[in-house]
Amino acid sequence: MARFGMDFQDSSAFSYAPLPLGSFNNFPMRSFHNIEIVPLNEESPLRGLRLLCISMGAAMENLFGTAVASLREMAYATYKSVAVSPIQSSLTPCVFDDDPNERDSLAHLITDMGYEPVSTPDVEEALRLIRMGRCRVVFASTHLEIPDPFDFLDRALRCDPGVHVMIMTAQYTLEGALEAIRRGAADFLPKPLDHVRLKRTLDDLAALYDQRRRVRSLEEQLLKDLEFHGIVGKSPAMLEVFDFTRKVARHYTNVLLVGQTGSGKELVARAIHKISPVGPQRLAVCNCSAMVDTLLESQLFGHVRGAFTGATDTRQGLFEYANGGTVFLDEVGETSLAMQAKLLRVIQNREIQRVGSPEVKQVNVRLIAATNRDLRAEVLSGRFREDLFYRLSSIQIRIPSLAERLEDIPLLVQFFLKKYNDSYGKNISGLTRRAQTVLLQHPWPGNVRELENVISTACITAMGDFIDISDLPEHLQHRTPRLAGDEDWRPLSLDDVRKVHIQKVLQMCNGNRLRAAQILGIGRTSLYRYLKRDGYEVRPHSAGAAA
Amino acid sequence: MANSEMQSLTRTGQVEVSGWDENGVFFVERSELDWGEYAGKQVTLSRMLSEGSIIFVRPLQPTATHRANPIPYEAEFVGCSPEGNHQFRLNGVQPRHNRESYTVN
Repeated sequence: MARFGMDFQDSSAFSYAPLPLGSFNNFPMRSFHNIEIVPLNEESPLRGLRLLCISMGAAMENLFGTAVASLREMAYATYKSVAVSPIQSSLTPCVFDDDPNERDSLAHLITDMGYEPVSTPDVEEALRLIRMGRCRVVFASTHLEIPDPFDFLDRALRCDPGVHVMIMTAQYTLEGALEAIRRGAADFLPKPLDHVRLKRTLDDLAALYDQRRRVRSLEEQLLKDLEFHGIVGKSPAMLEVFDFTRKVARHYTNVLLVGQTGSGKELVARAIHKISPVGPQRLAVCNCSAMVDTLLESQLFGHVRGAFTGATDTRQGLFEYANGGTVFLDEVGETSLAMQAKLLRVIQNREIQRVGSPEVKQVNVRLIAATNRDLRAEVLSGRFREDLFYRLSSIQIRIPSLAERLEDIPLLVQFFLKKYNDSYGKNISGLTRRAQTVLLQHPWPGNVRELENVISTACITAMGDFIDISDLPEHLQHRTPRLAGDEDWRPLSLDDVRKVHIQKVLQMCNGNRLRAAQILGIGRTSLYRYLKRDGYEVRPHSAGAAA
Repeated sequence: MANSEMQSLTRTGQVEVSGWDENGVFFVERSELDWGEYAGKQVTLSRMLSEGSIIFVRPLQPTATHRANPIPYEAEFVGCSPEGNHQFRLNGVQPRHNRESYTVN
């Protein structure tokens, strides 16, 4: 398998590999079943063999002339009588030739082989058919003596990098064949065409597309099987999340979901609620980061008329609304200490008080909280209540980031393609290999949410059957690959790394050295030793003093 | 589906906006959706976007049975708010289609 790199910008599309596709950067690409883009600047044994066949065919033609042609006819008659393809209708070849006799002749021949060709003398019409995905294989006649004999080839591949373009010419030269293949032609055929070779090519392509259809059908089934309440994943990390979620859902009172923004915390929360005993009851979702304290309090606990300016009526809060069900508090790490105290009261006593009301109400709710912060570190730095943290985190589920489960990307792509094909009335089959490569090399700071936005954007802009690089958001088209989390990386010495890290932790702990030492996993005296070595003033008796 | 989501948008106003800013950095922001008859739909963001970039707006609906889908809009820069934030008008985007009739010889 050739290596597919970002440096490849040519639009050569030769073969199609449904399953398996081998590996790329040590992770499997089994689920990708689209167009294989073969970089032209790399040596491929297949291409070498193909070029050898081309040159041998031409040499035979020159040597034996009409005798070979007669033999070809006989061979074709035999081949046709025994090789009947059951899947011929899956391919629509396009014959593009300005000579009406040759065009009609080839169209009849292809029809005779069991396919339904379309033919045109007009270059724009041929390109339009390609752009529309009407034709998967094009037989394009060219004259090598014209200034740019492969102009059509370039334009066709720009329209659809996956189209198979067979260049036909009466002026066969080895240089011409090499140039055509280099520029992305699927084959270079001397006229008159070898009928056996033509039929074999068409049958192979038809078989390939049929295989692809079957693979897609199987993958659709697989997608259904791997979907867990709207969450898609087959990576070990996600399967563990699904498994733990199933176990937890029956028994939880409070659950803490931890994961980066966009990793799917809300979906997991909804899944937990759905399969819990209170699944038929209500689920209320509150994003704590979106509101100021007063508004958040009113939203969660409700208010009575006149409690504050604008409170024109009495309104129940989400805890009352979801009584008997579940409340999901997203971004709970963003709440103030005052609000955390109120939440603790709900968790401990299961009671709430509407804003402006002296009445205390009992509620029976299950609580799912989520955060993208390290709450343990927040506790140590004094920004999150320790008692609330322990109450919430009795059961904790960590949702992996997308960068930790890159093997799920093909499945997620398929899932979102189906979703947005339905939404936008499109019929996009997949991504070109080079577009897949771009997605696999992206660090995905926005996780699954970002991937969904990418696919949605591409579905809006794509005109063909496949999403290509040009359909992706612009910054993805030109981005050089880099590893996740290396934006600030510099080649520091280990001593410098230690120094910077200690300073960051101390800063996070507001200078509290005891807490900093706990986070760093070292003793307080070790921390003092490092600080002294780094030139900071150390006063051992003032543990809480700022560094 | 889109209509029902829009109706709820007018009720709550709270939305989650995601997309890529002018530097190509992915962002997620909570914002208020202002929806006026003449001004159309507008959101205020802390960051600047490239002209014509697509952003995704997801209504935050506390009591919705299902998670709302993000709706794509083209962002048109309107101006800066007194606080220094950036205001954008949201223009609906239509997916490009290739399903046209064709004729062949």
